[in-house]
Amino acid sequence: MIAQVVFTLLLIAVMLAAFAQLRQIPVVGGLVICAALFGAYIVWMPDHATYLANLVGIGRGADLVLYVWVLISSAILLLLYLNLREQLHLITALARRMALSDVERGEKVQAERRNTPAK
Amino acid sequence: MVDDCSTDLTAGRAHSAGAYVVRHPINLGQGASLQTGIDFALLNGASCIVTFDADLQHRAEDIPALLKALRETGVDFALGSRFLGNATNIDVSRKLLLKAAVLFTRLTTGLRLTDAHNGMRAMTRRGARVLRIRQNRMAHASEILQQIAKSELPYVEVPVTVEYTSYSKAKGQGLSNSVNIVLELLSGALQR
Repeated sequence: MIAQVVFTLLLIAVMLAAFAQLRQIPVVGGLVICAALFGAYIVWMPDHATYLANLVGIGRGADLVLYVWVLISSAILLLLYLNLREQLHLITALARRMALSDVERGEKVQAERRNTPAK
Repeated sequence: MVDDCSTDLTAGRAHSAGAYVVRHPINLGQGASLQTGIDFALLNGASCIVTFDADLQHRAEDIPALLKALRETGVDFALGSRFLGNATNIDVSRKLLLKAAVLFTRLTTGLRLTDAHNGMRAMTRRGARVLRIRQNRMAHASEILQQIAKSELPYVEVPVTVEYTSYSKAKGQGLSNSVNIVLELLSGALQR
């Protein structure tokens, strides 16, 4: 019972983290939520895990739990990677804004302008 | 000219020669540099924009033909093609890689091109405004073509010359880069 509660709390935390990313990264966020929901289901229904494992040809329910956990971990890593890319887009926008706000035309043109008498 | 934190003297020489030099405060990549250059040109009222790579494989002499194609055919994008023009000193492996990129582009965008990764291209103001390059590194060439296809704006290919030197080959894309490009495009597709 204690293990079930601990795992459920962990999976709820995973689901909340994925839900927060759902707008930015809908596909991977959705995948994490589905995998975590399935994880919670087999935590509370271990007999079903064995039945489902047999159904898909895995053998033992414990192996199915392990596979689901690997899937959740991989999806979280992908979520983090995509989140990093999103941060990179923000940094790019900031760097571009800085670059565009400080553009000077070359010395040759400036010298020509200085030498051109004002009309 | 966009200086993406280069360590050579190009930016200084371009500045001395009278060019506008836009300097990125940090290295962002070729795709990001292109978008910065396009943004700068649009902010300064450009009616047409020409882009080309800085690895000396393109020839400035091809620019008039690209601009002429925009003017005379009324299209919004004139895309350079080394396979309609000349590809000097091209390796067989590179040629095969580029042909694979053409096939990939046809399958993913529907665009019928002879050259999919040519940095020499010209666009109208209207064309430039539909581009929003989010692929900072080498995947931008495929992303640009995806956005052109999505915009449904007209385009034409123009023969250009690409001259391969040992310098440009060292800077160019190899097979490992191609794998990175596909991964970056997949990552981009998973995001908004």
